[in-house]
Amino acid sequence: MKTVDSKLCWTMAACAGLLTHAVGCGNLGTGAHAEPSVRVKPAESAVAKVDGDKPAATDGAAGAGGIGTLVGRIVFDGTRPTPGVIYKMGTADKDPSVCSKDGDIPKEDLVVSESKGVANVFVFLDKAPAGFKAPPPAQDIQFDQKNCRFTTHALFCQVGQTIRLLNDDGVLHNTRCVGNRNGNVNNAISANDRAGIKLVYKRPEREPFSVKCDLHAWMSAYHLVLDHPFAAVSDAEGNFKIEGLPAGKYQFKVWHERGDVGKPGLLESKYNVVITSGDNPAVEIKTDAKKFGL
Amino acid sequence: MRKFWCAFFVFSPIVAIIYSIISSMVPSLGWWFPGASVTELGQRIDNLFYLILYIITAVFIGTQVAMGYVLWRASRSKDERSWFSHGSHSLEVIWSVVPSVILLFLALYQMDVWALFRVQAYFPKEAREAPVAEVTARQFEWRIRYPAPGKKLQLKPQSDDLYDVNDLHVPINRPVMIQLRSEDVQHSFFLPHLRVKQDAVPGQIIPIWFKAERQGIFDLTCAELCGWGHYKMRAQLTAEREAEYEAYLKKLQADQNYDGHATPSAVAKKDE
Amino acid sequence: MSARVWRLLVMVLASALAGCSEDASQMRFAQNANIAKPVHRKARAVVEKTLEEHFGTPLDSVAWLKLPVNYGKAEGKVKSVDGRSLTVDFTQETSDLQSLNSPELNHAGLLFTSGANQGKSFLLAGYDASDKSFELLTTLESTPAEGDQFVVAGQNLRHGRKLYARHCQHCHGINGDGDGPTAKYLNPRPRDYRLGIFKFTSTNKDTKVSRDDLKRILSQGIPGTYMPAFVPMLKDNELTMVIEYVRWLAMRGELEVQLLKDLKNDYAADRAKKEAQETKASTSDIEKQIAKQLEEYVANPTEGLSAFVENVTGDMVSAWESAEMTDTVIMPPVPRVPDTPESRERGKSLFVKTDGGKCINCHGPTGRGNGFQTEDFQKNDATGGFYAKRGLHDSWGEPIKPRDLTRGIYRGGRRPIDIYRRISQGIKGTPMPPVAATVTPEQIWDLVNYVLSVPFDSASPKPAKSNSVAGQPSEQGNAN
Repeated sequence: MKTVDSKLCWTMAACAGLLTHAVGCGNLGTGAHAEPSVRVKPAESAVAKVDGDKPAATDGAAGAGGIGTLVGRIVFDGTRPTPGVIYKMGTADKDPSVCSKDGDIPKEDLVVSESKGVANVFVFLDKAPAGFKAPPPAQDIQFDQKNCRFTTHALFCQVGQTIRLLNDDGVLHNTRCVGNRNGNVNNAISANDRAGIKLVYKRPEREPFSVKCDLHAWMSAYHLVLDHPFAAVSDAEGNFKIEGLPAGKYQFKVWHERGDVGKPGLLESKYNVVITSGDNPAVEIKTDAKKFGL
Repeated sequence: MRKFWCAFFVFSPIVAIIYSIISSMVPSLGWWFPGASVTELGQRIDNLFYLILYIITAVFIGTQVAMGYVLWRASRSKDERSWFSHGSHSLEVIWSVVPSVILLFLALYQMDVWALFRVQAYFPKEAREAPVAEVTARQFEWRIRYPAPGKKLQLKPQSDDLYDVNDLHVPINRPVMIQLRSEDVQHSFFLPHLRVKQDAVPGQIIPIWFKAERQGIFDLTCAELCGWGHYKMRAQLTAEREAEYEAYLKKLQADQNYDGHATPSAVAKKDE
Repeated sequence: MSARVWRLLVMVLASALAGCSEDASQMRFAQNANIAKPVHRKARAVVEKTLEEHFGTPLDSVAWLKLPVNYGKAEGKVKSVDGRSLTVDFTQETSDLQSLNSPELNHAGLLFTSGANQGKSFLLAGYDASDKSFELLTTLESTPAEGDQFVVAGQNLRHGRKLYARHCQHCHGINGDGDGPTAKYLNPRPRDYRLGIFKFTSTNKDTKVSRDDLKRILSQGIPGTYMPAFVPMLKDNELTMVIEYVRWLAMRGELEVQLLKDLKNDYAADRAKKEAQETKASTSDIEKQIAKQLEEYVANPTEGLSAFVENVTGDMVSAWESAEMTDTVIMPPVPRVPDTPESRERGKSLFVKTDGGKCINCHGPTGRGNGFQTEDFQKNDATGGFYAKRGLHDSWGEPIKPRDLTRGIYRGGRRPIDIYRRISQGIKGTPMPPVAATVTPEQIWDLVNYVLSVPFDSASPKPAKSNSVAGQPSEQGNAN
């Protein structure tokens, strides 16, 4: 019995070995051996182009209710954070002959005035009111840097508007603007370049994006590019003004570089305002300290 | 039944004999062998290879035939009993001495080929003194550094050295030497058509010489498992006439100094 | 036979056949995890669906004719139909007839642009050049009439995909994310194509990489990294196929990034939670709202998803097309200034000038790549905070070191023109800035001469006024 068993065992083992061998010899048609198939998709899809003369939606019909102005103030709710300093005057360890020569280089990620107004907050409409179209303003915006600090920390500009990148320092700076739709814009600006380099953003962005100098890591600013003029940046006291709004209901976005619990983000994603013709009552947007991550 | 088992066990040796006879003919049929050697030294290596192959085949056939005879004899009659041997001193002497003599003969016979290929003192003088290139193997390509035309290859890279990748150019009809290095792991510099193979050991600089007798583009492959890309570490050796070789080096130099204004050369892989 | 034997037989057969089932590994395009993380999962699903519609899956790809990818297109009209066989006439000007002979035509696509089958794509089995007829894999739903127009495309994509799967995928990943199975052993990491940024280009700073640049990288490899040279292993036409596939992957990645970044604004991952807190509504109600809004966004023909995709793709197409134009290639306006010691001195003084090149900030006073920027904490644009590690980071968020010029390893090429381009236009995706606007071409050539001489400097130059570590005398390092 034992002899038969072992003979049978060996025969079965041989069969199994041959089978596995045979199976292993082929390819399974996966991975690099897979045969991909390709479907062709035509270039033009059936998207109707935006018709500029379509009847406007309920909010912001141009001319129906007049033009109004929105005035407001961003107010900090909490204990005013003490202003910080990146480098005290003369202590910058990069290019000390120029950087921090004229004064401290302040920390600008959260600037709250003594009267608790929050500066450098962007208030803007995500999309232009339906049917709105206007060419970008003809005049240039100046974006300067002095003392190794961008003089405008928060800048709003429109698509097609010319920005002049200037340099008021005796050192080279480069200005790198990392937008989503506008690609990686990078320009080196010579020392003391007062004529400046022209920069034009061609596409609107959904939210402000960072602008930095690779040569001086602390330098930081934010740009917002929209295809309409209905945005503003709060000043040192937290005040802002948006003019020319067609009357109607609006949802504004309020954005700050620490607005998402310390990270760049929206303080308010849907700030509802009703605009009537002429001046409108000033709005006060209260922002809790927690929103800034404090 | 006995005959069946005899046949069963003699089947493999018979197949093996047929196979070994065919194998000894295969190189000349060019089935898997990379054809006749491009170098003269390679031809001598081939001759050694054939010699050993024929000796082995003859011995193999002999032993298999002997085994087959024994099996057959034993299967002939039921009554024949096997006899027990107490050993045969003379037989043992014969089958120790004869193989030793053969091996000793082979060892001595191949010494000069070995020396010519491996021992630096036997390298042709002109090759030894002026290496044409430094070949650095790295995962998974071959980086080549030539000295500027008219200059000697230095151990340390010079500012006018010429660089290329995966395409080693050498002139024909004169012995040339390359310095082999490795940048990361062990590779092996294998020129099958020239019968040249040398491991590239990290940390060592190994000289290899050869003399291509005819022009052509030959495979340069890696013969030491070096990682997941080992199988695709394929480059080429371009053996060309002296004039073309010099023209190539000049072209490489022009390409390497290309500043947008000198006439760019038309080498496809350096196209602008 | 006894039960024991039967059991044994079954066991043996089972173990022999165990590996015989079809390999279940599915090739699919993984999502760009970092950018997708802050996006709501329903919005992410929308993005996945859109990408699948426009690009397909790795094994069922879509040759979207809008993209400037060479799919191997052939256009023409149907002459006659015979079951699955179509005899055709080609529009000579726009057809790539050569590629129709490729075996990769099997499983490529044929799209009807007019007639009963308009807008439908069918798979091809083959092409017969002698009588100009296509063999289809499946029968057509409606018989095409004579004169129906069609477009055949995809054989180059198939060929590229196969080559890519064999040679590139294990490092660069299925979707070109630079995170294939072998990538985790590599430093620097393989390129992530999905931002559409390639570092070593001949084009100006605002332009994408050109096909010539990609071909150069494949032909020469990138010394100092794990990217090998693929010539002579790949033939010239194979290089072209791989390049087209890589560009296709890069475009897919770019569209994905744009979609995710746009949807992040309105459909953030934590939106339900936040709104629930503010409005005191339940999260499930808000989730329903989000789903409804997304549906509307997708369905909106003029201001919704399709319009956004149109806009973004339009930009992308013109960006990639402009990379092929000769006017975006940087050619130095003057020939190289002779490589004299004076020129190198001038270059060196530019290198260390504080109001000039700023090279030493990153590259260090002796070019060793140890400038003080490598010790600073750099700002992270994506999160608004600082990077966890000291030193410079590239656009992919990975730490990056400034080049050690004493090594003599030039990743983008060692020709003078290559170094010129790096200095003039910077290196895309890295903090290396373009300085073309601030120096003259002759000054750039002086810098080039200096840079190329740094590995062979035997004297240690006196460092300029700076606080970083004093320079070491540069040794002559590995030149390759």
